[in-house]
Amino acid sequence: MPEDLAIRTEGLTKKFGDFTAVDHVDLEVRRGEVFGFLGANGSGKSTTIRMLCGLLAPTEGRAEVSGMDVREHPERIREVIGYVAQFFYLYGDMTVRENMELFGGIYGVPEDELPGRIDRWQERLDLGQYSRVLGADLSMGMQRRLSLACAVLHQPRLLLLDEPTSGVDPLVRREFFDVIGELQDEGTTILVTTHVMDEAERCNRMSLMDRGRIVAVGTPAEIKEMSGGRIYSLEVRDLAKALDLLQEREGLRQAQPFGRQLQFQLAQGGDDEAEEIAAWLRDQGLDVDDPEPVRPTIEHTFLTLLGGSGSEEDDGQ
Amino acid sequence: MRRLLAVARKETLHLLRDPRSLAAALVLPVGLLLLYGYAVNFDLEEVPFAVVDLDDTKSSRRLIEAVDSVHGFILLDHYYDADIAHELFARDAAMAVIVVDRGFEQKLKSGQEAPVQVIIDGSNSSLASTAATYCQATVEQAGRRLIRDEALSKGIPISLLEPAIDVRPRVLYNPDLKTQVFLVPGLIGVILMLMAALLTSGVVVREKERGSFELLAASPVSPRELIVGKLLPYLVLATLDVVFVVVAGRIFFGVELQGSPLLLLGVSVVFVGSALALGLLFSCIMPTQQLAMLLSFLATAMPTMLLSGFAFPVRNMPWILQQVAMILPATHYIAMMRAIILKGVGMDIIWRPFLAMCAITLVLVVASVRRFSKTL
Repeated sequence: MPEDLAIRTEGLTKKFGDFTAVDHVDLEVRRGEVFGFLGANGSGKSTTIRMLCGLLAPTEGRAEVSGMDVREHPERIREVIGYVAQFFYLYGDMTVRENMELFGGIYGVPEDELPGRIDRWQERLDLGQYSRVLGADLSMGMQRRLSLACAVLHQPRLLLLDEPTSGVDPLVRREFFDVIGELQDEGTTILVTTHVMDEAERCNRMSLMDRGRIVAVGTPAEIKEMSGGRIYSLEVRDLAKALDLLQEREGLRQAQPFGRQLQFQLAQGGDDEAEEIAAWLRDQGLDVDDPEPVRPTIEHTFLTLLGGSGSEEDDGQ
Repeated sequence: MRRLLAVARKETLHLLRDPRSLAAALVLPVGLLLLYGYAVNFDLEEVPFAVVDLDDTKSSRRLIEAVDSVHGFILLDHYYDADIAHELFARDAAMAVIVVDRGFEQKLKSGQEAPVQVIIDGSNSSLASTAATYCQATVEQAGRRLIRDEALSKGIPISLLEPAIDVRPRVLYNPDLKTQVFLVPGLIGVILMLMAALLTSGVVVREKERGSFELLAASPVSPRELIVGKLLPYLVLATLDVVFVVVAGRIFFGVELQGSPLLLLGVSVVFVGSALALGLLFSCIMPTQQLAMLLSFLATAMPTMLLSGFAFPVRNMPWILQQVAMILPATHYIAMMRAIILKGVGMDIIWRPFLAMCAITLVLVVASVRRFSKTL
């Protein structure tokens, strides 16, 4: 394993009975990067993370964290990683500070350093005034901050965040990514799962997971390129009928409502082909404006790769 | 050590933040002791009896008066047919029927054996055997007085009537043969076993249900640190329970501690340790808190009550059940508790059961650590 890799998996697979949750995943996360782990709910992200933490034994394949095999050295790996689970799993009957003291303790933070570190993180995550509040009485945003604080007290080399921002407002989400940026500056590698696209934009690199497989890996710019054909947006009066019609039409990769507009992606071609589609819709009796080109986003790639037919999945593999 | 203490502190906080469960853990053992201590009683407090006096002479009447005057014997009524016993026993009205046959006085005066029949309700064998012995002794004593008076009136020296061998039993440790004195030390063992195992039966499976297990499992804390760290606060709590029930046994049932309090405490700590470890083991292997509690209850209550020598002596059991009894920590503990509380013996006498109990405790703790898996 090259020195500059924080995580490397080869053919990592997890089966639950007949169900394959993670299907031969090859993943490389470089030291010091923020790596976005994207995918729909149930696509296998959490299962992959749990295997990296040693919480689940892989059915097949191998995984290395910080150069150590997860099967051979689970305890040593656990010392150098921090893990924020998908839900608030801290103790509701213990205060913010008591929770932090507990995790400082079980991660072996030196006793004389712990109070100072707790103070710093309380300050940094605006938890100071909640220091004596029970975990159960915190708002969801505060619970998320506390979960993060408990995971970083021991200065992990690798931080695994499983949807750290689900259920919180955009402001908290931005603060969270600011902290993630600061941790990165301090040299921490961060793997973060999300299905919020603006979070994905803030990652150095990312992977896209679908039904247990990784279908795309790259920088945000590279991912956007993978959306394939060009995307246009149309203003249309009868959105539902237009969608129905476009489902039938050849030459389109996808069509979906976007606010009050209709977005569609061409399999090939550009402005002329888009105009042609608009004209065709008008022929069908719909009131349609001129199509406007749209800059591709990660979400487009996401929908292209995940919403497409089976053959595209095979391409991804 | 640092990790272990962090876990112990967390468990202590859980205990303190849940005052209702904490209060239950401290009050329930004493409550159970009172409940069982008063409910379970093999003592014969009173013997309601009926009389069928077919002789109806001065002597027979004096015999009956003498029996009636004995404390605890309550004369219900006079009847004239011994068959009345069935009817009285069926209604649970009497425990004994004393039948004096015709010619009792005559035989007595002529120096022959004058039999008196005592019919006992044997449906409750333990009470019946006590009642039979009690009745026999009482009637015999009353009879001896009759004979002595008879002898005196005839001018025969009393010395000739004294029995050659005078047996005077002296009962040590429990001179009044009170059930509670025998019962309480064993009861303490049964209650502590049950309570301690219930206390810890939730502590691992609860974390799994709440999800916090995932964070613990992802941390470098080892199963040993986690299990021992979780045990420690409960060991303190259960030791408090020991003190409470021993003191309650002294206050409510007059069972005084004859031996060393320190020895009692030391032995008790190892014992509750075994029960706590058993609860933890179930907590590690059962999928829900309810199941873990149920299993803890079943696995402690039944065998401990039946096989530990709490109520029935282990040496009377079939060989196979004796072997089962030997692997129950309560068997050794109850034997030691009776020895320490009632007989005041020291470690020099009880080292064998003590070592056996230590071994059982160790095995249970190691089993919990082994069965504790850090995978989901």
